[in-house]
Amino acid sequence: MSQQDDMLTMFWQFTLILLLAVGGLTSAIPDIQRHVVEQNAWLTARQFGEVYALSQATPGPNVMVMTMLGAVLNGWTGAIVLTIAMFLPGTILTALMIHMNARNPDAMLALAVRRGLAPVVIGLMISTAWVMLSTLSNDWRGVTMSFATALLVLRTRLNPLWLVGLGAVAGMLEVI
Amino acid sequence: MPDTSPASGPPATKEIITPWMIYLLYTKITLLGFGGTMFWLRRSMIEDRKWVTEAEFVEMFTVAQLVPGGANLYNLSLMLGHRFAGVRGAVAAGLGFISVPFFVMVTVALLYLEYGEQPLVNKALTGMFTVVVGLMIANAYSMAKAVPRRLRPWLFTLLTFTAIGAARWPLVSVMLLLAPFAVSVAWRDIAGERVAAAKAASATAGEAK
Repeated sequence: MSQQDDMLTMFWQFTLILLLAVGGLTSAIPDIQRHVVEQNAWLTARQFGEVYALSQATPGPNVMVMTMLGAVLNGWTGAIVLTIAMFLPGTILTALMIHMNARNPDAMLALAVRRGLAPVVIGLMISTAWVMLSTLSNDWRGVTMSFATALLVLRTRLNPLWLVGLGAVAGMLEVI
Repeated sequence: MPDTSPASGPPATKEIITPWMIYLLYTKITLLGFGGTMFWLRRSMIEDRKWVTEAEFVEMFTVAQLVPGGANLYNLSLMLGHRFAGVRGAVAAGLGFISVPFFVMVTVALLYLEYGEQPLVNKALTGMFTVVVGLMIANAYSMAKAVPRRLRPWLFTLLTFTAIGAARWPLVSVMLLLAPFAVSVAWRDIAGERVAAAKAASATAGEAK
C-alpha cells in the first residue's frame, strides 16, 4: 500500500473510527483490524496482533500504536498520517473545550452519556479481546496461555509489562 | 451559576512552570511508560511536583474523557499544560506527549519490518502477542464485572459485541445507530429517577409537617 489515495482514505477512515469509538483507542481496535486485515489485507491478522503487542511493549503512550501501525503500513509517511489521525481531532476538540471553559459539562447530559455508553464500551472491549483471540483460534497452546495470563493478571498485582517480557522469552523457548 | 470548581482558583503551586519544563516532564512521563502513562502522570503531577490537586486532576480527566477521538490522556495533557502555562503550555504538553515517542515507535516499526520474520524474533513476538491477548481478556472481564446485573445494560453490551465482535459490522454505522439510542434510554431513566426522588422528598417533607 503506497498510493496517496489510499493514505488519504485511510486517514479519513481512521479519524472517523476514532471519533466514534467511545471509550478510547482499545474500543477502536476491532474496527481498525477489520479495515487493515479483513477489508484491505494490508497485514495478516497475526501481523496486526504482533504490531499491537510490540507497541504495548515499547515505551510511549498506548495510543502511539497508531504511529507504529502507520510506519509498518507505509514508512514515515504512514506514521505521520496515522499520528495526525490519532491526535488532530483531540487537539481541536480539547482546544474548543478549553476555550469554552467547559469545566462543568451539562451534568445531566454527561451522566446520561456515561451511563448509557458504559455497556457499549464494555461490548467493544469484549469485541477487542474476541477479535484478537480468534487470531489464535487454531493454536490451542496460545489460547491456553492467553487465558492463563488473564487469570494471572486478575489474581495478582503483577505489572502486565513483565508478563509481556515473559511472553517474549516463553515464545523464544517455544513454550508458547 | 457561581463557579465553585477547584480549577477556577489559583494554581495548586506557586512555582512558575515554563513550557520547557512541561515539555521535558511529558517526554519523561511518556517514555517511562512502564506501568502506564496514567500512573506516571498522576504520580509526577500530583505527588512529586504538586502542580495540581487530586480534585482538579480528576475534574480535568472527566472533561478529557468526554472529548471524542480516543486520546483521553493526550487531551488531559493539553488541559494540564494550558492550566500551567496557557496556550504555550498546551503546545508544550502536546509535543512532549508525542514527539519523542513518535521516533521511538517508528524505529521499532522499521526494526519489525526488517527482522520481524526472523525465526527467533517471530517466536518472541508470538509469545508477546499471546500475553497481550490475555491482558485484553482480563481487561474485558474486569470491565464486564462492573456492568449492573440488570437486563438492559447487558442487552446493550450483547448488542455491541454481536455487531462489532461477532458480525464485524463497521463501527461507524453501528455507533451512529446504537449510541443515541443508549444515551436517550439512560437519559429517560435518570429523568425518571429524579422525578421519583423529588416525589419521595416532598412526601417526607409533607409527613414532617
